[in-house]
Amino acid sequence: MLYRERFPRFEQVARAIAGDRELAREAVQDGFADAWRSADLYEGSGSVEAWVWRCVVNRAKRARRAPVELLGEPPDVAAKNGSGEDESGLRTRIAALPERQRLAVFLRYYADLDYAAIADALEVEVGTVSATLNQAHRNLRAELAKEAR
Amino acid sequence: MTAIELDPVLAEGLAKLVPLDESARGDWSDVERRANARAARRRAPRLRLVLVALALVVAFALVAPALGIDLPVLDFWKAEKAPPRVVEDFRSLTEGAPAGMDPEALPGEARKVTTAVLSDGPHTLWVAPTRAGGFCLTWTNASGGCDQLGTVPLSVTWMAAGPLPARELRPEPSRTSFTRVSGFANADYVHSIELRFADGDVVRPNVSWVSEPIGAGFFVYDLPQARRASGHELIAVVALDSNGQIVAEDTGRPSESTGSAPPEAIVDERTAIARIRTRHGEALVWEAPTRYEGRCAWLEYEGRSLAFVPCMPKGYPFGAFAFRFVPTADDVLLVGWVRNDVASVEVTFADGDRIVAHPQDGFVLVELPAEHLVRGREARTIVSRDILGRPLHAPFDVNGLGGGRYPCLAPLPLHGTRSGPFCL
Repeated sequence: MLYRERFPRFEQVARAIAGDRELAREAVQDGFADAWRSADLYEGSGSVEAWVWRCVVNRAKRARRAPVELLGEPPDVAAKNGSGEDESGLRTRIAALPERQRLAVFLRYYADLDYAAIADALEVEVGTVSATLNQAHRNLRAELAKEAR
Repeated sequence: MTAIELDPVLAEGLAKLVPLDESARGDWSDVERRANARAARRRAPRLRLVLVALALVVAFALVAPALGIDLPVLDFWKAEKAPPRVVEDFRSLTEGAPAGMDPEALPGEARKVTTAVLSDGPHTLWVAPTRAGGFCLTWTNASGGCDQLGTVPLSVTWMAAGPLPARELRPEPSRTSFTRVSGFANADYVHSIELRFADGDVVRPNVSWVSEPIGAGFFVYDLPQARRASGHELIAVVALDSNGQIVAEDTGRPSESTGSAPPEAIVDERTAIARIRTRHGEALVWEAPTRYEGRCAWLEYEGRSLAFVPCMPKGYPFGAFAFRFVPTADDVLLVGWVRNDVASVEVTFADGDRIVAHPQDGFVLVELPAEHLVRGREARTIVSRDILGRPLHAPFDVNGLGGGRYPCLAPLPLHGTRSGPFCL
């Protein structure tokens, strides 16, 4: 069952978007409830999983605490846990991405969705996903390169 | 298209930022509770919804960023427009309709509501509004219909296997032969739909609610084999309001005599319209409003009730004369609901006799004379007339009527021997 097998992935993506573990769990629960309740509106043009991802992502977007607190634990907590400047910098760079790029990155890297599924989840064309991820990589690599210098 | 490879550096960094928690577990029962709770509260009556919406305007401005407004209703105007083939189907409803039967659908505004994957494959529901505020619908490879005025509270099509006939064409009234039900409910009056089974089970099918100008919810439900077995079969489709009260009910059969008034009638507000003395006491026609601004009428006789005509939604007129022969223990009553311009109803018998009944507040109720309950003296035709005595329609051939048969084909007991029912 999708819910049982992929719950950790849904929770991870929702946590990345909402910036809080509890909010993330709420978003996953509400997202699945949305998907189930409106299953009759599902048009069958994409995968069911992508449809559920769309519902969860939408819930997580609504639930997030603030635009700047987009990822995981705050920097000071991350530092105490052994993470350092690299993670803090990446957090800032991810947060600075346009929303669509950020969500596409999360769905690609955390959820391991293919382009078609990301397109369904974000309600965009597949070509848009490709362009969006390209742009996101360029932005992030540019920042990584600056840091490397 | 070539997928972008995952960047290993970025992947590693992201994994550190939001580590995967493999131990995270969800609670599916909680998901179910949330889904059901939302479904239960989403169909508030329109007036209440408007008032609540007005009250929320100010609050929304304050808390909008954190507020998840959730109205899982398909916005009709944002739905996918119908392709030319479907538009043409809707156009044919109008262009091919007999005089007075044109639903006045707007084919160019037809849109897709949903696609349901059923036992025989996917079926797409297309809906087009009508000029009068209602809609027409068609399921691909299945049934269709119209509610021209948008006031029908509940419409149900009971289907046997395969592409499904219109309800009135269904060949077999046994409920165990039905494999599917579909229909729609009016959002102004109906909050939820229940499928009630002979063994007491109740199922709430998914309903695709659609915004104005449609203002209705659509459902389709495949009956699994276990729910077609005798004793477990579907016995009623029920539309409930937000208080759980029955707005309308469809049992898949013509109405039968029961011990109570139609469930759709608000009995506390009933009015006695017509009454006669029969050989077995009083027979009485009651009329009452419904929870969908319509009206119901039923006959009460010998401790029983019979909805002799369907309860009518707002705005839909009857024909000149909607009537029914009602067999009692050893008697036959003629009861009907007539148009306002009907001043009299004349029944002609095979031996040349005639009786004339006069409507009371739009209803006719008469006991057929006992001497005419035998072969050779039976009723032959019925005609309604205006105040000048002019016929309002061609005489109905009694034996050709679909709603009941008269006279009986066996000699009738005229002097106290009870045997029946014998006419329907």
